[in-house]
Amino acid sequence: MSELSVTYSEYERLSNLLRQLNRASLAARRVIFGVNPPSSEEQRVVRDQLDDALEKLSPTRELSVTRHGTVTVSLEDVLRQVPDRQEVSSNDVTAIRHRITGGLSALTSEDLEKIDKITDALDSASEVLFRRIQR
Amino acid sequence: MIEFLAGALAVLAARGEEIVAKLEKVTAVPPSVTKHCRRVRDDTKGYLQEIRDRSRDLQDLRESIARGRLASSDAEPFIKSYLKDYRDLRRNIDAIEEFFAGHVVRFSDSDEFLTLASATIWLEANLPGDPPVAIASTSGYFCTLASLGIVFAPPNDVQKLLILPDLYHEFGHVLHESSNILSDKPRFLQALADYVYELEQQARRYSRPLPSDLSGNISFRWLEHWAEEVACDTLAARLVGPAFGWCNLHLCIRHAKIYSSSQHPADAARTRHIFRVLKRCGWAKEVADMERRWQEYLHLMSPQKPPNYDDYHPDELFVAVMEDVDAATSSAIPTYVPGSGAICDLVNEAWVAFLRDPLRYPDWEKPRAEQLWKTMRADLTS
Repeated sequence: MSELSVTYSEYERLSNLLRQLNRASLAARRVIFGVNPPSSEEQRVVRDQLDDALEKLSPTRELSVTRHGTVTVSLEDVLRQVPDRQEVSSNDVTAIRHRITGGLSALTSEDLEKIDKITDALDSASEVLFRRIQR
Repeated sequence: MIEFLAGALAVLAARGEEIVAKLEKVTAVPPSVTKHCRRVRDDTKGYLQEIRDRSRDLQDLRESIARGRLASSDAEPFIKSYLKDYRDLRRNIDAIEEFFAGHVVRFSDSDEFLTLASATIWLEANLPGDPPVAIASTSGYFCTLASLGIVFAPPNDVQKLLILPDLYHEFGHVLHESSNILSDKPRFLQALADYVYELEQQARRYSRPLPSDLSGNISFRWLEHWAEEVACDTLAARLVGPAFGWCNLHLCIRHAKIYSSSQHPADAARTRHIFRVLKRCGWAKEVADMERRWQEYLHLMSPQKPPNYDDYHPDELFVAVMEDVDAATSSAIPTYVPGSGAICDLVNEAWVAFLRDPLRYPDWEKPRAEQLWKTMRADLTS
């Protein structure tokens, strides 16, 4: 597989993760602020998607195989894209995953800010990879 | 900002619709191209639906602010998220235009040869799913964007046949994406866990100094890229036989990176593995010839192994991947047998002709490649 193929696969993985997390964060805000809140069923689906996306952000490369045998993206690698990455840690991700077992409305504004930090990083990382593909 | 973003989404939607229209107009191409055009068109329509959804969400947001249900300050994180979503959609639309639509609307004769060859090989090898579109327009070597169903190949005005074995390797990447034939690797996953454990135990037992992140890096490389590459090499060697071994040697001498590795295992380790698969398939005599030339090449180049080279390239991981591919393909996908009349036969004959008289090879190839093209075109219309 050429470097382009590898970079494209990596780009797709980050892009999918960005979409999952960003849309989950939007849905959670719609619930919290009452702006066309999604139905209970939609909220359950979004919560599962959010949990799935956060699971893919493993804390380190050593833990890079999920229970499904798929490779995960390292949180550390993703957060390298944002200057204030110390604001999000793997403990935060674990805490958010724990909290959303109670539904999207259980997310705090701090949780949403941390998810936004991660999506900012994924957005930057996707853009960098995409520009590299286009070169 | 909401209005501005809504406008940007409208522009993006117009571009998406233009791509859909272009893909619907693609005609006079092999059926496999038409199939992928339909699939990519449907993906684009999916993105268009998402763009419409985001436009509606923005409208709702605007109304919530206007009616005082949402404070402007509370709306900011929403807008920021919609901006990120817009950028993601824009990149995906760009990717479809740049890496698929832009190529199929300018489908050339060279593309037709490669795409027809892909479709014929795919059928002969009984591979599942649809063969990829193959485009002759890369500045490097082969490149596969599996999710788009497209393979880029070197320009093939000369040496049409000699490079085809590498197309079999690229098919492995397409299969990796579209089926579980190559992606399920139970033996490999077990072998990797055992290997890393043993490596760490050895380091403790013999106080061998290892870089602190060595086992993590080895696992990462193998899980992330190498197991797939080794599976693709295994598949190609099984499908096309000795021609893949020769094609690999031909590729290896193009650059002096015998022991260096990145997204691929090192050339030396891949070559060793390809020889292993070919021998397993009964090509011992041919492999002996290849090994002789490979040793000559190593002697000439005298490369030095980098630190921990052997740790990164243990035989047991290569063997485990090979056994996974064997188990997944043995009943359904045939290994190469000479005399079948398939393209893999012609490709092996091409390599024999090249090795016999490299300088006169182009004269040997030209009429045969033309005949193959005619046959594939005739099969297409029959």
